[in-house]
Amino acid sequence: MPPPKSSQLGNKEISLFRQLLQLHDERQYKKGVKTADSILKKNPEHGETLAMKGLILYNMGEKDNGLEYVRRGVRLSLTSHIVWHVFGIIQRQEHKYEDALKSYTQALRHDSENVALIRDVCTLSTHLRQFQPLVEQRLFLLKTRPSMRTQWVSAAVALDLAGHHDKALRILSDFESTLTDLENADSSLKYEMSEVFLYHISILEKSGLFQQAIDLLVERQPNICDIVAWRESHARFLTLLNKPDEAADAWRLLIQSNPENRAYYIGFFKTKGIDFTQNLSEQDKSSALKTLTLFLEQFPKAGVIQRLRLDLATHNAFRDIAHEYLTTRITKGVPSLFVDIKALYGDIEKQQILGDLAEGYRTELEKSCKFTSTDDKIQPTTSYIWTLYYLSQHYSQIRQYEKSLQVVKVAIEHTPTLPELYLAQGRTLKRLGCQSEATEAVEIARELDGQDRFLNCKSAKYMIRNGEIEQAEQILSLFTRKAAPTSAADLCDMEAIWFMREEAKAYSKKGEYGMALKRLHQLFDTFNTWEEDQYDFHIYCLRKYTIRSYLTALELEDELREDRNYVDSAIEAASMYMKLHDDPRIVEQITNPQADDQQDKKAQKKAKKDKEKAAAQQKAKGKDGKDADGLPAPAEDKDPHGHGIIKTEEPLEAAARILAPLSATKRKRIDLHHVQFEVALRRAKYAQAMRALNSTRALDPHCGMLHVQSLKLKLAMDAEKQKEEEGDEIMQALHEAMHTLIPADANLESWNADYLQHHSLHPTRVLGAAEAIILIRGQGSARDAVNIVMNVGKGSVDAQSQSHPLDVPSATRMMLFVAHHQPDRVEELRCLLNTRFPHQDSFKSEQQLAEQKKAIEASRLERSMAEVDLSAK
Amino acid sequence: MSIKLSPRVDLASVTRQNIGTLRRLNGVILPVPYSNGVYEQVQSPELEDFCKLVYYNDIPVGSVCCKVEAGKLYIMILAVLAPYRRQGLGRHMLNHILKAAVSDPEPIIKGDKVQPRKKLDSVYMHVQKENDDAIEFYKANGFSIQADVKDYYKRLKGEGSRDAFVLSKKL
Repeated sequence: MPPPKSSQLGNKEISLFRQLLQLHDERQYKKGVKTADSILKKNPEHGETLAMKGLILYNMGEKDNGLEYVRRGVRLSLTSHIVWHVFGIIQRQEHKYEDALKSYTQALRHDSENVALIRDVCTLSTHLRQFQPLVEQRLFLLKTRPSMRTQWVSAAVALDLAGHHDKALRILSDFESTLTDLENADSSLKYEMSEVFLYHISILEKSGLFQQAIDLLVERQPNICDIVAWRESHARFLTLLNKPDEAADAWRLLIQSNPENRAYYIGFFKTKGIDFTQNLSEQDKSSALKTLTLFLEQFPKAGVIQRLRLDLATHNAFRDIAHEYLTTRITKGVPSLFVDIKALYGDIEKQQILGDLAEGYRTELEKSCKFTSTDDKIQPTTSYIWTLYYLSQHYSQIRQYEKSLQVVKVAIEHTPTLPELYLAQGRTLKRLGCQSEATEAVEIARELDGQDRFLNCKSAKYMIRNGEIEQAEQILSLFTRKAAPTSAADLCDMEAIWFMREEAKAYSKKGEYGMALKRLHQLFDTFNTWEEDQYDFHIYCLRKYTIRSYLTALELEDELREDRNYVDSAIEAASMYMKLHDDPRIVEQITNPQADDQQDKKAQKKAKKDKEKAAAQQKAKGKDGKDADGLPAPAEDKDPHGHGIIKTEEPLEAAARILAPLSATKRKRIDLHHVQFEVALRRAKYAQAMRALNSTRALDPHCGMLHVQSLKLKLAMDAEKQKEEEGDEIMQALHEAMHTLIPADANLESWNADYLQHHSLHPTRVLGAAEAIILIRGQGSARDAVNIVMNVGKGSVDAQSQSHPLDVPSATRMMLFVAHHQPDRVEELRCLLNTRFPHQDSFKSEQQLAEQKKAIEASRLERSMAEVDLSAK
Repeated sequence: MSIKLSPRVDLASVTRQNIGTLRRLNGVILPVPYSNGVYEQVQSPELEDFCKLVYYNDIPVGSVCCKVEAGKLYIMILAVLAPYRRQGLGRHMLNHILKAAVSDPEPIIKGDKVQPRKKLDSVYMHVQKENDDAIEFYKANGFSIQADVKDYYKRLKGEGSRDAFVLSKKL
């Protein structure tokens, strides 16, 4: 850091302050504090010294104290770049990137040519995607330091990110013209410049300048080290420039270098006018198939070619190719065979043929140990078992669950030691809704092989879904770090998203919203960590010139929260926060349980156990606060049951914060829009609510939720209207928009009756109409509304309609609806649904569940039996 | 002309991790359940060569479990899942333990003490009297009937099925 401008200090103090800056840079913190103190003795109001002392204290771990010093420093010398810089550094370390950028900008105002400062500003603005200041600073740095290569490239990247491709291209061209004698450069420089050229070419491609791109590619061929990238770009540009013959040769060359890359074949066929992303004509398919067969002769071992042939072949040709594909893999015992070709099941004909083939193998193998009667190979016994395994998955996929279970039962009786069979059985049972039996099947698989982490996680996952959380965590602990406080803590540290999601769902199902939200927040924190992970790369990648990978990483970060795991979890968390908002008693019940004695004892016992465990851990930690693995000891969990989370004063604001990153999502998630609406309505953000409705309508104009939610919004806005007569412009616009959903002059009763009549065959829409009845007529008509829903349950509705069969999620919503409005009819509906979905655990009677539980306990006991001691015989 | 595709056959030691597989195999193949003590015993390092799972194309389908008693090797279990019999797996396992029994004995290490294992002079086992296939199998492999034990399998029901032969072979 440069010396201070301060004139308050005497000569001696100025030199002391210089020393202080140096001590900070050298991380001599203790000496630094002493030096700062000796300045402050004479000049206790010297802001810059205070700030520096604060920074040093902060770095020494006294965060709050340090921050206090820095704040005082800022207040005392508002025009000093040093105090703002220091403040910015600390804000950045606290992950408050936007505040940090503001402080840095403030610092820059008082010292506009401080290079270290500018660099930090650049990093922060990239991190926050504020490209305008980024471009300005980068161009300034380039102007002042044109001799540094990295300034040129960094400026180009900034312009590229800001969308100024033409300017970025100009800078890169200018830069490249300064490079001479690259052939004799050292290897690291060669590699770096190779990346620069490829980056340059990628901007040309992005701008659609394919001719220029290929010219530069050819011109710079000797300077480009990444030969695969060169060849791929070359082939791509030739294709885009419509030079089919040359392009075909280029793709062929790539195929020769790596016959297992699917994209190369797709590129190759594009030059022949066959676009795999489109629906292909029969003629295209057969000509592509012929060419692929030629490729296969050349590369007989290439799995990609064999698999592509299955995509293209039809009818008898498909049968022949599929026969070969299946039999070779069954003989080999490839467990992933079904998953590999599952995509073909979108085609009914292929699905049929695959099933026929496998059934044929089964019959013939039982008879003669051959796949077909004309086959000359006698198969090993395992071929039979892999055939059954395939068939079981086949039937499960085409929803013939009973048949799938039959097949897998035969297989298990034949070979009871193959874990895959139990997994297939478990999956089918899960699809039937019989989670407890599914869990049992998967647990048997796990017991077969204790060192298989996959089986361990699978079994734990099924257990969690079955509500056996504690037992699941115990099983997971076989593979987690022994020094971790609990297996759950370790899995959250390891960013095991599946675990956080499953536990959140299981806790939520039990009504333990504290724990559920705790897990979901751990998941959100993980996404935050992933977002922050990019910070160091803004500096590192530009220094190392790995620009192409860097830019794809930035794209990934930009779309991070589009990930299904985030979207699903956000919906779940927001829904839970709404429950807490709608019924604050829930929070009271969870955090202050008036437990009966038994539960109390149980809790006490557990607390005692936890305490003992913690004490043992403390012991294991040793003196330096590190655990047995030499890792720093984990911070104590201050909110072990998530009570702090659910005690929030503003559950709706929390929900809104979680949903905020999804306001402009590209994902077509109707359930997201439903939740967005409910949160917006409760926060009286009518414009947001209307936007959510429009998004829902774009996806499904007849959606039952849309029907109810439109009505809710209308009622809310009408109530508002009565309150304040005039209504501002926005409200007026909203009322108008509302008229496209519910006509202004509509009689709500007949509007709803109309909807019900139109959609009387559709369970979720009928449910929507039923909810609307209650909204229109009030709770007094709950009986009518429930009657309508019960009719769906009785099947009088969808018996006529195969296109909208009742599914389990809708049936579950029906149960909730009836439970809410007329609890005495729940049992009636449950019986109806139980006959409809006999395997679904949630529709079973207490007695059925108890019997099931008993059977499972008996089987567990049998597996761990200790009956006859052979030695005592 | 038919070509018989021959499977890959491997042996693997019984460990803490795959003991569940052994339990399941025994539960399916054998008429009597074994105690937890047996399952502990078969994992002991000094018996490693005599307690094996057999894998047929990477799927465990059978096992052999022995113990050492007074200089003799006693075969507790030699079993293969029904669909995988008559393919040489039993013989493969038997040959393995016979070979191991005459090779240089591994010293038994218990804590700090190293105690050399006694040389084995013979191998024997009990076979249910009615189990003709098994008796034939052992005879073909050089075993002979030494004794006839009445009511050996106490837990089994049915008159003759509780009696056993003792078969043995000199090493």
